[in-house]
Amino acid sequence: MIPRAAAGDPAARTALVRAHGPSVWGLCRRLCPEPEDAYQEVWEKVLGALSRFDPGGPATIRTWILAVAHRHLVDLHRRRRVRGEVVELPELPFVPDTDEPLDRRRRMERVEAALSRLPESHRRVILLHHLHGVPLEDLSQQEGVALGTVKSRLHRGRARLAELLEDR
Amino acid sequence: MKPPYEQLSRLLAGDLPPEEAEELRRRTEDDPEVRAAFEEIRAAVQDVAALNDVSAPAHLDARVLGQAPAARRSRRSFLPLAVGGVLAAAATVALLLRPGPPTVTLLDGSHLVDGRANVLAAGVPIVVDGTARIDVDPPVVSVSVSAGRARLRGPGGSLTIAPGETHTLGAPALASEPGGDAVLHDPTARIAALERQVEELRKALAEAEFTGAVARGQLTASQGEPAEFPVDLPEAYRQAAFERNLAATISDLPGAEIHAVDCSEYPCIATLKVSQPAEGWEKQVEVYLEKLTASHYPKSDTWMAIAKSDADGTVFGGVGLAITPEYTLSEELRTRTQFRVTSLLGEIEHMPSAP
Repeated sequence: MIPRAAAGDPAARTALVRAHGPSVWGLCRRLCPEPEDAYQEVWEKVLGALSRFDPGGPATIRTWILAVAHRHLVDLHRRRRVRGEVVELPELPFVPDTDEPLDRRRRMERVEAALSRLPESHRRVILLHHLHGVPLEDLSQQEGVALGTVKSRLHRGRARLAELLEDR
Repeated sequence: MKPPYEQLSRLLAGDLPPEEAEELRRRTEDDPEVRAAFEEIRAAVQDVAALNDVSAPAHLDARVLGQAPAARRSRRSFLPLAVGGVLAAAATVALLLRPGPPTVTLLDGSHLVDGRANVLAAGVPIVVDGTARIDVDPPVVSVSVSAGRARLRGPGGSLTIAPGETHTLGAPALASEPGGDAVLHDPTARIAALERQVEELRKALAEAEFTGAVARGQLTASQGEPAEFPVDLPEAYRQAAFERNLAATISDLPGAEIHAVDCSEYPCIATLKVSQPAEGWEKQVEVYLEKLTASHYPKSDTWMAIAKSDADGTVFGGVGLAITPEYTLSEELRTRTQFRVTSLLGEIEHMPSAP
């Protein structure tokens, strides 16, 4: 599928976006004040660079797409910071799975809300590591910071998250 | 005593040295509160791992796949968000006049600008799109371009500086107008020339499109890195409460309004504009700010800069302000905060007055 998608095959590209779009969208909406722009930009990069992805290499396509998304989101964050913008997170529409029990749904809403209150760099590390399983070493490389810094962000973020959730 | 959440998170990840881990493990067994905190971290991690990801809206996927036109929104300015909803009308007018994010005022010294930015150096608006070194020694401004270009906007029009070129401006050059010496010696013509100059400066400011190159090239180089807000920072020091407290305190300070609040990095800073300041207004401002700290920030350090301007024929005062918990700012962050406050204050000085 990847070579066909890289060659521009519409069906293969659609399959790729359907398979990995939710992960990319999840990151964009949780980390960006303008998630729609970020989502399109990430996919532009992914589809533009797809021919350089090596299906026989060490990274899976999922890992590779997440890495592209991660780097782009880090870049957007840095640009927002140096532009002196104050970032307000958009409403995070919680899309419930109707089969989920109500208390679990409520708990997840609280987790989303608590996550949105973390500093973006902490939130990014937590989401990529715990939700998407990206190793901390990879995050360190993609963020361009030392492994110790990534760990520090992770632990500070987890600590704050737990505090925010404590009275649930 | 608050449980050591961060250390507990490290314990859970196996990131603590054995002795410290053992000690903390004992505490989790002996202290129910610490144990509860540990369990909370474990649960939070599991919760994050179980979050749902949902598909992007269909129209977005269609755009990504080229099945719909790429109707991307243009990048909007976040300045209105930075200013927030509590500002007085005059500040809103200022935003309308200056739709872009702020122009950065360069202080005296040498600055590296890397990227696209509008800066104001000794009153000279300069648009950089590339890499340029700008030396400011008022009234002399020297611009050397190493890549891209820089455009200087003066009363006689624009001047573009190409890579490898250096251009130096001084007060006489800025004052010159078509018409030469005759203009300089005719008071009426001189006033008209100055008015045109002011108008040019206003236009240049209104066109400002700042994309951070100065912050990246100058602040990072000489004033340290932006700081994250401390996790345990009290809410009063965060944007919403900071703005609210400030607005409430100055609500009856004559002529005063919030010009801008910048919480894009730690700490939050703010500028106030005082219209038609009466004699002794500086002291009055200090009294109000003492009231602010006494009511909301009893153990804090306050950083304040005061300026008065009669540019544009309208006299007004400007106050730059930062408040942080007592004894918490590092030397580097203190320098950076002072720079940010001064820089934001400079924007008031160059802000056109409301019509």
